[in-house]
Amino acid sequence: MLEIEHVVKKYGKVVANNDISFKVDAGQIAILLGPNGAGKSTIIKCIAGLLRFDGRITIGGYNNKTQEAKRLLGYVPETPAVYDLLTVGEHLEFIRRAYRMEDDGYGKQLLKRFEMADKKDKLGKELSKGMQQKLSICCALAHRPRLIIFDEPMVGLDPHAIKEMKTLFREQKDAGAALLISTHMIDSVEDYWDATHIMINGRFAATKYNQPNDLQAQSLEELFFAITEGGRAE
Amino acid sequence: MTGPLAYLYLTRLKNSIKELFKKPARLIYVLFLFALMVFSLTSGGARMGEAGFRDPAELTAMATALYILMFLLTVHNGFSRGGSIFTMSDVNLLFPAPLSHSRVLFYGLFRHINTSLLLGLFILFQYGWLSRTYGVSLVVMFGLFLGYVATVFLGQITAMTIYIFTSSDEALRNRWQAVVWFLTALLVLYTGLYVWQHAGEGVLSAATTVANSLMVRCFPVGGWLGWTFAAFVSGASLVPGLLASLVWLALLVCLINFSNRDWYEDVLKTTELTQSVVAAQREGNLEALPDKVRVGRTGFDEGWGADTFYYKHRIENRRGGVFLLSRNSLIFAVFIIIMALFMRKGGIVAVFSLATYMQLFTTRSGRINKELTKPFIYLVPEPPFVKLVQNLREMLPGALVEAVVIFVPVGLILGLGGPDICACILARVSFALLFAAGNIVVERFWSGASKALTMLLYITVMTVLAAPGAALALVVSSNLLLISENFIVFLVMAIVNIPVSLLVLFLCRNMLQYAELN
Repeated sequence: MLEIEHVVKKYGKVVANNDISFKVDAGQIAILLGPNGAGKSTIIKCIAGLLRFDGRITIGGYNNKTQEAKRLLGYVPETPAVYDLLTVGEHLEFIRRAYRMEDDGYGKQLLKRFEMADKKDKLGKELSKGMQQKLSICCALAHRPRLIIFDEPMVGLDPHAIKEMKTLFREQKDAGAALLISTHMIDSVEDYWDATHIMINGRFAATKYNQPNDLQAQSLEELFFAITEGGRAE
Repeated sequence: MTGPLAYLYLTRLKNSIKELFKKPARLIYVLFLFALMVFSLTSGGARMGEAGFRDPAELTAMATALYILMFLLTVHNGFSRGGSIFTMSDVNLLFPAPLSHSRVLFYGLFRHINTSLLLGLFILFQYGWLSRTYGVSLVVMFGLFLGYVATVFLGQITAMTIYIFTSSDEALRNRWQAVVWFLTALLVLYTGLYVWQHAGEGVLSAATTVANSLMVRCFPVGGWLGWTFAAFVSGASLVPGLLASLVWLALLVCLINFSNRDWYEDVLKTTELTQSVVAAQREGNLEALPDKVRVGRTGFDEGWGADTFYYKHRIENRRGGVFLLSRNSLIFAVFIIIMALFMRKGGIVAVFSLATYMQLFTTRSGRINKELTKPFIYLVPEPPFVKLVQNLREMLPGALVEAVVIFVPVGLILGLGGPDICACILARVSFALLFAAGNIVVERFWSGASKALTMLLYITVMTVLAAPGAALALVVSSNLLLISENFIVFLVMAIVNIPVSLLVLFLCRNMLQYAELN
């Protein structure tokens, strides 16, 4: 579903992403794990088509800048993307109309699921940071994307919403969607991931695949600290 | 101000200068502005009162009107948002520190003088035409500048005081707001009646007389400082205006400092509000959102694909209280109309130039700038050029109404005919389109550049884009006379500007594919 080949992104002389290549298949959850400033958000934004880059990114076989690729993509930004003067309900309607989707009640279902149905007439500017984040997530899912990329999705969410998010990750995976989640919180990704890429200084320092039967394998946390605190990665 | 506060003040000043040398674009921008200012300040040199210059009373009247307007606008903010002389880092670091409230307050006041000085710099750029029209000397120019700085400074402190004492009591706030509105209405009524009664002597002459009258000069802060400036120009005593202003400052400082109120909490609120407004402006939302938004009807009437953006903008405009003309546009329009009264000698070309110069900065506040900071415009799977056009669509009706509101009264003041006024309106709309297109060019090629560099590029691009229309208008007007010279000048400008804008938009049609959203 998502293929990234030799992506390089520079800001002036600073190399934010250095020769990044990986893929996420349909029905898979991939994690980008790394400390602040590792380049996770940059690669996420490159995939979303928000940054210029060198290399190749395809979504469902289409170049990520094409309309076909955009139709398949859902993007949850790090900072909630909410319009101050639209109501919660109007955000979902805006996305539905902009993506040319008929109203089948899916937007309302999403609001209900994230406990926002009673806030449908509240303006974006009246919502708390956590509520804005939930709305941003609903907007990203409203057009039923096949690839969903999350940039630090748990930041600002309450425990109930975090639980709901984890359930949603599994559901989307089971429904055949590809998910890419960027985070710096190791304990938030638990065991539902298929592949984790640990990023340091714009590069992949290690990639670990989830093999539940391998009892000898290093835990994600051990691997992460081994890399970031100067140890040797496997 | 000694010890840690002096260290903080001097270190911040030193670091801001050092920062300038680390960012060449910003340095170039500052040097460019400095060179422009030096050029403006050296282009005059005449003497006030000499034959051929207009009456200096007009200048003092304008200064008083400007000071009063600035003061009222700042005070009005005080009722809703406060306006703070502190930054969030001041609040977070200094307020919990073991420093006395008075020292922190004086530190804030001292720092705020810098901000007021920067805000007043635009006055110095007016030296050229003020010198040519009124024979203003450099000394008088600095007097005008200092008066403006003092107005902004006192206005901001007044706004902060008002907020501190009224934020927790809505009834009290409403009462004080009513007092300010009453005083303003009284001033408007007095000046309006005077001008109406003495219209026979000429509107400009009557307006000048009333603006220099004792009644207007007694109006708080703006009037007092206008009085001081007028006294400075005429060589009269500075004492009355200056003394009133200093007493006002002392009174406010005592009120904040020696009252029983713990002003830290109130200042914290105003600082947070000011910070959020600044953050919104950085995001491209140049108009502050109203405090209480009336949601009204919800849902989209229309919109499918890219044109959903247009219908979304209509909903946002309705809720933001922007009905074709924003409050800022209206203020600029009134300012231009007032300036037309004083610039009659220069004719419509001078007034149009001033209006276009101001338009350069107001066009940037279109909703597309805000839209470019959100991911949706890039993510929605529609052709980029169509998305671009649909996002610009919302500004055209507003641009037309703004042009009519400005140039019908200006045309009447200057005695222009119908065709000339129509040509002015058309040219104004064409410039709105041209500037919007220029904005897209800057975003297309230099998105992500620093704020200072973006502004420099923006002005350069606009000058280049406007050059063909202006040049052709000049050539044609000197060779042809259709209905009038004005008519042909503005018509030619519009005829050239519109295709130039469309061409630019067409060439930038894939901007949304290559822009950077950082």
